[in-house]
Amino acid sequence: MRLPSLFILTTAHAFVFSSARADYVADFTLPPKVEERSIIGTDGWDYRLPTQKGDPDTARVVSVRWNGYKPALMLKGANLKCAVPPTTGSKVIITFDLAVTIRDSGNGRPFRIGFGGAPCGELFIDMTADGGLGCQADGSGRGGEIVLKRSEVKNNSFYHCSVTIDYAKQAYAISITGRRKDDSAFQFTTDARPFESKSKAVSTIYIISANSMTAYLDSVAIKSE
Amino acid sequence: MKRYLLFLLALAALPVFAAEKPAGTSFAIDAAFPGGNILVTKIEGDTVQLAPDNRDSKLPWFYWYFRVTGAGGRKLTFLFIKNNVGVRGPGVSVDGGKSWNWLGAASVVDGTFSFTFPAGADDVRFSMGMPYLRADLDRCLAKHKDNPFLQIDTLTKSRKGRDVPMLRIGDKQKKARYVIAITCRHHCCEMMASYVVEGLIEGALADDAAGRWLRENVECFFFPFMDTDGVEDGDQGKNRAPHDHNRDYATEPLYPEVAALKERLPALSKGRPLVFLDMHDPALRTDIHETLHFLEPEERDQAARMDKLCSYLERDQQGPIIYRKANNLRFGSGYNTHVERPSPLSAGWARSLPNTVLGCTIETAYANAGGCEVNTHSARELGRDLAVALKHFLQDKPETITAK
Repeated sequence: MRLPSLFILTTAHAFVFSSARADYVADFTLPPKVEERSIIGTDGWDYRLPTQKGDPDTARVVSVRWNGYKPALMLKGANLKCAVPPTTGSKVIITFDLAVTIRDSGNGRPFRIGFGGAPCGELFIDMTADGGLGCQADGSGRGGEIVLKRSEVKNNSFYHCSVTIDYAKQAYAISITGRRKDDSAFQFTTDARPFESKSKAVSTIYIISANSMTAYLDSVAIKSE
Repeated sequence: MKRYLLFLLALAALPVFAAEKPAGTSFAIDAAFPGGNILVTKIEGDTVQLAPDNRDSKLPWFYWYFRVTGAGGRKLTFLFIKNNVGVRGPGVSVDGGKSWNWLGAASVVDGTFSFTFPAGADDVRFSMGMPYLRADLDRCLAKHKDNPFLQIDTLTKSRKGRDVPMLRIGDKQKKARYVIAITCRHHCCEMMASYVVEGLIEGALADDAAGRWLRENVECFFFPFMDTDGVEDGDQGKNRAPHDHNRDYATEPLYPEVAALKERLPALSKGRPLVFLDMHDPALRTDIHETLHFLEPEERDQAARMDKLCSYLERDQQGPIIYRKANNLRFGSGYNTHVERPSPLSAGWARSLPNTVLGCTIETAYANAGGCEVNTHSARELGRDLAVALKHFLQDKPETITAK
């Protein structure tokens, strides 16, 4: 079962959230996105690097059977980017839901998602023996922190991810909630972590996904104060 | 004593386990229930040595399914030879065979595993797989008993007089353009394929885009137990003497299920384009046997069509089993080399029908499909994925697809 938005919000956060404005929202249920169609060429989504044979089926909007047929973006071997309107506020909140279908074992990082201008690093799936669901990786496909071991990642179950970036205070916080493989609740939150960056806005989404696994992306939102 | 009933009592418990169950308390191992199969060769204290009952199979095979009663609170150790236990350990059911889990790869060393019986557990089942019997199909069908698109019929009577089920799914008010025929359990031990078939049934009946399209455009026939007696009696079935059910298609059939299918399917399909899928499980472990794979037909046009179907499955699958077309077994490689004419195989026979656009065999690994766990849930989901892929495949008018 998909969890409601359980990520921890302090009272202050809640106030910020309620006064935030949406710079970009993609829930994949609304036009111009169409079920059973590729996302390429729609709403700013494009190849970051051409996929093998230029296959348009690597990034499709589909009805997700195990999620009550709610549409989501299904990714299998897609290397994508999406230009979004640059955020204008000093505080930015990025939220998205991510689900994966992974094998028992593998290698490398078959899934990475990052946000241009967001100094919080990438969220990723690492399939090495000590890997799992991780975050705060640098843009090279290395580093970061494993927050849920690979053996505990629940297939076909959305993880709600939230990143709050305070450009004024130069700090960010990450929250990930969902279910473990045994269906117990999973929650990861960081305290505010400092960063040094000249960036002042989020302006792109990028995704690198291998065809050794399936990823589902839903409810992508970038909001700023 | 019936030949599938082997009932032994162990009266002495080793002192080391005394805390778990008082010494001297008895437990029993038997196979006297539908699908049961075991030979108990030795019991020493809490250690039991077992083997599959090969019955009339010409080669040693690995199907076994037994029940332990009276062992609540006790830890028992079971010894098989390594090749008789799958890669995720045995299937275990603590509710009399209604639900199953793998004990886990780490629980087995060279075919030996131990199990601590929950206190009060009085019917714990163990198997090399996750057995699926007529009662399981009936449970599935009971959920749809009022569905006007489902018709439960009888193909024929088995040699032992059992009803051989045949299901028909479609809109009875319309003549569908296409026909799909799904067969399973030609080798009665290959039970994991039955969960895939159940998923296909659910997919064809589902109130979703694929289900609606299939019911509108396709008449689906399911023959879930092509060796009905073997399933219920717990036979191996594979390599049954003088030949098994999936080697019975070349000449006058030995088995009533095969004879009835050969007679009725051409009439049921009425010349409409037919897709015939025969569902199997391969061997228990190693190499291609730990993958989900299709067997490519020899005929080039049908091979091209199978490739199309597989492309859709690879693209659209949403279940936990990650399928890759690259795992398919090309004709002429591995064990996919049958060239006899007429073909003794069901899929080969189906391909010889003039209206068949695709006839092929699908092999679903028992427990491990390329690093994905095969279990009752994931296998059913694979069936749902196959239903979606079949919809896209038929929408492409496969009768027009030819080899380049």
